Amino acid sequence: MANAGSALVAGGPAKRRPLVSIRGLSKKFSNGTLALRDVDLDLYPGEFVSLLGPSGCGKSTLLRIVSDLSAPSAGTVDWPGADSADAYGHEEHSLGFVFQEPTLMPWAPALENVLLPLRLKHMPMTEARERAAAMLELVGLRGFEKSYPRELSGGMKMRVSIARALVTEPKVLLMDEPFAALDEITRHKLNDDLLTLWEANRFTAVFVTHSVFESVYLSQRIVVMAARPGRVMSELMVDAPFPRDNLFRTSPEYAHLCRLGSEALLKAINA
Amino acid sequence: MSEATTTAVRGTDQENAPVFAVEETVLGIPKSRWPGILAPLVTGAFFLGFWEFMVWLKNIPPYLLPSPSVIATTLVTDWPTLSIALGVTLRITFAALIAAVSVGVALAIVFTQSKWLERSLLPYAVILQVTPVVSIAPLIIIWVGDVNLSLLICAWLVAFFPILSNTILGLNSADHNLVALFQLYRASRWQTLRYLRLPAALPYFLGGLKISGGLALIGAVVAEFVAGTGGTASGLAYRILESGYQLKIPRMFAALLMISLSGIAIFLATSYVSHRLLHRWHESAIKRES
Repeated sequence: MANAGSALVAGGPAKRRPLVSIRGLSKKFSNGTLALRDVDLDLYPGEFVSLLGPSGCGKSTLLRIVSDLSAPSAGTVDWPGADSADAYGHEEHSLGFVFQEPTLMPWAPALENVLLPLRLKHMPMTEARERAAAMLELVGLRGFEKSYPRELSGGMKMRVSIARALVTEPKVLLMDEPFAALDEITRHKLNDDLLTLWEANRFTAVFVTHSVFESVYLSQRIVVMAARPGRVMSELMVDAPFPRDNLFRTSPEYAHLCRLGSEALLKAINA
Repeated sequence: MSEATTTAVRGTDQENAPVFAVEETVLGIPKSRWPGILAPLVTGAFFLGFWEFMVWLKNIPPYLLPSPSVIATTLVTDWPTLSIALGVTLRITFAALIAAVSVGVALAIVFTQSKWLERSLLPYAVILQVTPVVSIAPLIIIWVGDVNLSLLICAWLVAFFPILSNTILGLNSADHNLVALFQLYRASRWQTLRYLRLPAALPYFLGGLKISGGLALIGAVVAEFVAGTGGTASGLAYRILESGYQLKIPRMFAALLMISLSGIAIFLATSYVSHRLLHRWHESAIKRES
């Protein structure tokens, strides 16, 4: 831990208006488990943040609360940078969510799966179809519009899932260990492609992972979390420029950052 | 997709896509299916031959055990009467099945939308199911008056529960992450039902349909036996009763054969519908290369 201090930063990046501002967030489950305790976190427009931590540190719970799928026991999630409320007075947050599993509808072909969010928003079908097809092409699946999920490989299914999350052009893309179940080669390819998509569209990406290497490769900022109770331990800035590729993956800088990340994670595990 | 070089990303995971078995077909039927078709046919042929031979060998009179050839002849000569009876039974069966599907699915949807309705009504649906239809058929026949309608109600009573319970199970089996996704996009109840719960319930519903198809026939026949003892029916069960009284045993066998064949036809039809609807996506209809 001798030279770790230089890259470990207590606060966030320079003062900007955050897109999402999380303050004092706690979540206690009905069985008494304290999944999150007093979490403060700001998400800035267009940044790539990883939540890194051992299992049980509440990273998934945090994503579910941010996406309004679960209510916090205490604390707030504010969207100071978001647009005003919709016609019904609900605040409409522009979110995309990628689950651990591809979570596709097995009865629907890839294109139908991708256009689901547009269908639910009552977009005219011709326009929805065009946008979904364009999105599928962006994730490298042109020609697979009519393929059913079972006809696709694990990596391809994940691509469909990412296309579905991005088809509404969300401001925030939440990803809950999306590539954990994939093999290393496929994961590397998907990491590269995810970065390509992020650089092209500059949504705010929140990536949950328990892999130090993946978090260093992808993110600008790594939030290290500890378990029982789930809490934020430290932050690690990754200043390496984009685009990142295999050259970065094999660079001494990457190795150095991975060591810092591992040390921070170890500290969080032993905390 | 080698020409897809214009896309934003660099290559997919296409090489890992699953490989499905491609089979040669003989007369339009996949090769591996033929043993399943031929084996029971050959077994049946042997059995019928043995039956025919024993009847001939022991000189068994037709009023005790008619030989297959006598039954076949009776089927042809009595076809005018028997086919009318078959029509009556099948009409009741299909009407009951259609009623079972509509009421079963409608109730299942209502139950999954309102926990209180399910709590209040489902126990009574169970009671209807566990009460033997023979024991309530006489009551229904007396109350309803019209024979065909009371037979329909009896057959429906037997057939609707598997559809109801399977569809309820299916509607509640949607992937919880997909449910979360619909919630995330603020889908309405109707959208969640239409685009998520109903398709997720389809395999379960079809499983129920397969069971109910046979049960509707059984219900129709059983109820007809009850009504037939009162002399007020005209379906196949009534013909069986009548032939028994008149000791026309070959005709009894012929009517029995028609009921069995109808049952098999209904099973094959529901299996076919199920296969058509599921073969593109459901695990039950997939054959993987091993």
